[in-house]
Amino acid sequence: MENAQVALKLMLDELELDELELQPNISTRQERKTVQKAIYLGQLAGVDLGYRYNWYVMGPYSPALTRDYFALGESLSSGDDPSGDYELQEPVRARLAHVKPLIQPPTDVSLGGPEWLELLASVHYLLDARRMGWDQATEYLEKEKPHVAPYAKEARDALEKHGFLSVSV
Amino acid sequence: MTRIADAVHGTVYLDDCETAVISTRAYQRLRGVKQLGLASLVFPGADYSRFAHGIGTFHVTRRILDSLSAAHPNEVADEEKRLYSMAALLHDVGHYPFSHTFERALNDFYTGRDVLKKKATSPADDPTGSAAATSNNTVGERWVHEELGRHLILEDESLRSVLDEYRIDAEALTQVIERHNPPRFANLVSSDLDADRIDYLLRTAKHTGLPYGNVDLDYLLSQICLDAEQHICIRPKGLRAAEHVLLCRYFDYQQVNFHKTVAGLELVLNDAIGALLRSGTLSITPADLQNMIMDGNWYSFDDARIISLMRQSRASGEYTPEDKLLFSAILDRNPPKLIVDRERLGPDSTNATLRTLRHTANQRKAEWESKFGIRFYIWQPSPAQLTKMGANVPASVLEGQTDSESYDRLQQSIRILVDNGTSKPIQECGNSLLSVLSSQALYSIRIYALIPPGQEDTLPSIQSTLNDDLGPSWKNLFDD
Repeated sequence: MENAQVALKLMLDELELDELELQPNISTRQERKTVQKAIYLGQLAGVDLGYRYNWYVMGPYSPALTRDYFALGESLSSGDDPSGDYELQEPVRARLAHVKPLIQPPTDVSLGGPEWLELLASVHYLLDARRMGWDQATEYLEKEKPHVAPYAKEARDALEKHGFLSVSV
Repeated sequence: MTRIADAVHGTVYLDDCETAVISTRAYQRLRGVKQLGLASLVFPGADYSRFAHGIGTFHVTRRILDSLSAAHPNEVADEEKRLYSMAALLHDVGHYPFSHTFERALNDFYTGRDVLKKKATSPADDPTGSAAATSNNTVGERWVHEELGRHLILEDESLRSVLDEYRIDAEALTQVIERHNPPRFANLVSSDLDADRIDYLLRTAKHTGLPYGNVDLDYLLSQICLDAEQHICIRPKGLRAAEHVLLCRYFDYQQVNFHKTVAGLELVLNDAIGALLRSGTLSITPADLQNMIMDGNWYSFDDARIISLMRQSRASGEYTPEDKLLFSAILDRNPPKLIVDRERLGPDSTNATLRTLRHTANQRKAEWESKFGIRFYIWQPSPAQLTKMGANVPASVLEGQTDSESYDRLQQSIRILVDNGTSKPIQECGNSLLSVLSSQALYSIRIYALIPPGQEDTLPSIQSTLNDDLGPSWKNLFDD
């Protein structure tokens, strides 16, 4: 197993994602969405695993990450888990600690975990990578992601509160 | 206007801006980066450069856009043509020497060094990591080639000044190349029928002497159009030519990239580059790359530079015999020996058959290496499917799904125009071979052994040991 897959497994374990059961394979849509968005946030927190995201039609997505987590799932299905010999370095865990408070949606947000992560990653991507203004970003979300757009402000507030976005664009 | 005689496309014309771009040091550097890595050690002619491929991709992009303009007058703006053509020309400007293999080695090294550590087995043995956070407080930070390309486009003085002089929006260019802001013609940049892939197939066929990449570009261009939703698609008459592109890619990959010797050499190259990184001979952090761009060393950082570093390292006293063996395998063309090779085309369930073999191999690898004192490699590529759809995700997983992955993968598929003016992915066309084959993939596993020169007589013993350990049934794996 390459270091990337080991790190991926350990990072997902560290983030304690309720929706995720990495055994025996990662096959549900919700799991795949959770992995994509959780790693996006983990990298945002300062742990670079080398996955780069593009805005596909429906959100920030990394094809390389897809490849690695299916390979990871395949390894686990075969009974191979070399991640057991490794752990994350302390500075990595310290950075991921900043992501953990974001994982669960706030009580006033009626979204499931994967949808909340999807919204967080999308808001950040639109404001940061695509350099949209707030109005433009919310309009875009209403058009492309109406199922999560109503909570865009809550997502932005959460990202700002935890230092992932500069305060109010 | 500059005319370039290209082996694949005949005459390629570049205007003053395009000529100025390819004349920059950043672009000229691509003459020293081979498109096909070490494939020329198997196919002697397969040493064409990313420089040639970049110009070829530019040319194909422009031909596609001209065809679309002809089919839909006034629908493709001149500024769009200019932007996409320039994006095609510059799409590979940030590639490292030996491209994807180098990047894999880089990722593996920085993840291993900065993110992971081995668990301590005793209090005395407490390896602390050397997590080198950058000034941005990111551990393991590295630049993939698209990011490096962005930095070159925005920060390389000569390249940026050309773009500014000819009023090409450098930021917009990077957005197209990186797909941060998906362009109107997203599938021109990245899809089953993109210009990059078409030039790659034609050029590889030309230079390897193998026929597998000979797509019918002229006919495809005569059938290309936009559907009612502005997707690039192919008229129904062009269905067979479109199917042929996908089959070409499949056969080309199997015969060239996944050729047993090419694949084996690339595995060794990955470790050889890893050795250079571990020793500090190479350091490729973002700060290093910034310095290399500023002081000009980036422009000589090509395949030859890596080969030169391997030669120097082999001759130095700083490397282990094991590392020197890696360098020699590349420098002296001593590829690892193929011991086990099984493959089968089928649905996802085929993969289940391979799992036992894969598990046993992974469990036994350390024992084999200890017993024979040599390095073993287990090659397990992603399933090879005909369409980009499902290239990373098993087809059965995507069936009936409408999430990002499947939707975007469908968007990237070759699309065929239908009666009502819309289009649909080729694999959804009932008269297409792809409607049957898109759910199938080629599942493969290989085991190689890197046998030092002079120890070839260990090969029978290695084969015998692996036969016994993998179980008598592995040879019959997939046999009907």
